[in-house]
Amino acid sequence: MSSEFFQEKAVKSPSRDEAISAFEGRQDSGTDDAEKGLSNALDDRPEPSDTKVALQRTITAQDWTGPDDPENPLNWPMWQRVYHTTVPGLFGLAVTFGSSVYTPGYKEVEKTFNVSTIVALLPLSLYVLGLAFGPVLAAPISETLGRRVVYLVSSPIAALFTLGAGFSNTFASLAITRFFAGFFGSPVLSVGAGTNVDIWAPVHRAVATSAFLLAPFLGPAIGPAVGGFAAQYKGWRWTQWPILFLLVPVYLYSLGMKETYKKIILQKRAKRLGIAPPAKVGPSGFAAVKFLITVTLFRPVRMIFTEPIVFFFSLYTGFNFSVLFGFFDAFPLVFEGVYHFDTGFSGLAFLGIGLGCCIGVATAILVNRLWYHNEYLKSHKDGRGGAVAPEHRLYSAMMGSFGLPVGLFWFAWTSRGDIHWISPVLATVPFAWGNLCVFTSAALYLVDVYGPLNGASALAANGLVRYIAGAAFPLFTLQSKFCVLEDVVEGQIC
Amino acid sequence: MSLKMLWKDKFADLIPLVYNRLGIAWATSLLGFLSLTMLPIPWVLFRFGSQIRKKSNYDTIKA
Repeated sequence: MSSEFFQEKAVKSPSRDEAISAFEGRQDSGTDDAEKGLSNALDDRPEPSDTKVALQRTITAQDWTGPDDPENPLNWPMWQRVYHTTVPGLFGLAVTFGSSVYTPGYKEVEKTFNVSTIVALLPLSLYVLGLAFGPVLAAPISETLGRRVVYLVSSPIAALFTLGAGFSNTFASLAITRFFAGFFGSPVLSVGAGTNVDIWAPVHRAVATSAFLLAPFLGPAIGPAVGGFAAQYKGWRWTQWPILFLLVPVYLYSLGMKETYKKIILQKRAKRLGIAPPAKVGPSGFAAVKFLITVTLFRPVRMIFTEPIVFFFSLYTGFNFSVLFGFFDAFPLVFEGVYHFDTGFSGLAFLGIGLGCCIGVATAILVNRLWYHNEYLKSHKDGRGGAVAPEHRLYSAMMGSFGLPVGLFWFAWTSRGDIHWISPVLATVPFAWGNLCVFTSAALYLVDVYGPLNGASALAANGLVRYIAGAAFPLFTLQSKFCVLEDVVEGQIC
Repeated sequence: MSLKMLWKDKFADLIPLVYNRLGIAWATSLLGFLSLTMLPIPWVLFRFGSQIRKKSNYDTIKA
């Protein structure tokens, strides 16, 4: 999602060539009038201004030939667009699945390599840390070579590092390969939102994007369920193979992908037809890389410290995300220690989180459709041209903010041997629901407040905090394990 | 001495051991209390967001 700005940054960035600016700005208005009327009526986002539309009609070589250009991903047949939406979703699922699938294996890793619990958890944390750097890697690649390359090149590298992790004979190699597996897996997470922007007009985009947002939450929830059985019956190395079992088919499935990034499609078409390529725009070479690193790394960090909105939402979603990852540690404690599940079944307890996430996405879509959309229509009626205060994006966060403490206290006080195990499992549902509601709200709000370009930086800030917190948290909740798990089983808390 | 023992001996007391000091109930409650302190964030932004936005150093939406 943080790469969404690629679609629209030209609108904001004065350094960009006019023609490109114009067609980037037209992204959402390139449909015919009737369709546009419909999209105005249904869309829940303010339309970008299309003041520059007139300019770009003449420069056909640098833009679509018209609103019905068959090469425009927005005009692709429905099945193709659905296909191109499922690919980033499945990749996102496979990559985030790879984070937590390791967890059930850490006890064995501890014994195999004779390391402490906290060290044995490093391969989980380093993987999550690697995920934090997705935008930094994805932005320069997709900007220069297109989105397709990101999918096709980064994921096999991630798969190779995963293979390396599974075959590791020393702890150091396990930790390092896991970090790079996360690092090279992460670009698909950040490029996916850009793909969705390419192929869906705003009317339909909300559903596609929300479904895509589900992946980073659902993946980690499924991980322990699969990894639990793998670790129990086959050993820790088998916690790595399921990642490959997911990644490889998804990769093969993705081979049919075409480029969806407008800039790259037009470049290729110009080359194919022998017409002059679009003028080189913006900074090039080192300056371009510097620009992209500014957007994905430096500016986000500055925004965290100077913008209260970014700071508080990063804090909030970072906390929520780290509690989610903290659950990966607490679950074995509760379900193996208190309820005496075996490793495989304690992973199934995460399915409550998966359910909560799904309800959360449904809530976010529904709230947006019902309330935000009303505000949008009202704004039109009042002659404000569809401008809606971004605060109206916050409804689902406001609802979700209650789900988090409710779920946590519920989990806290019913995780006892004399209360049925279904109670703590159900407690994770409101927690996960609230987590997703807050997250989707925050993402929409930040982009609305800061616009596409700075909004991407704000989101990148959010992602950095989220994944770094998610990486650090297990280390500090879980260290308790080395004594707790043994002692809980023996009936005492140390 | 294994790393694990070393960890237990040297560092266990330095960092608050959330789960083993508090037990599952209170450790998770601690997180619950933290989430309560953050609960007002969206509510406060809903109420005062427009004022906060105006003071931003970046271009923000005018609505």
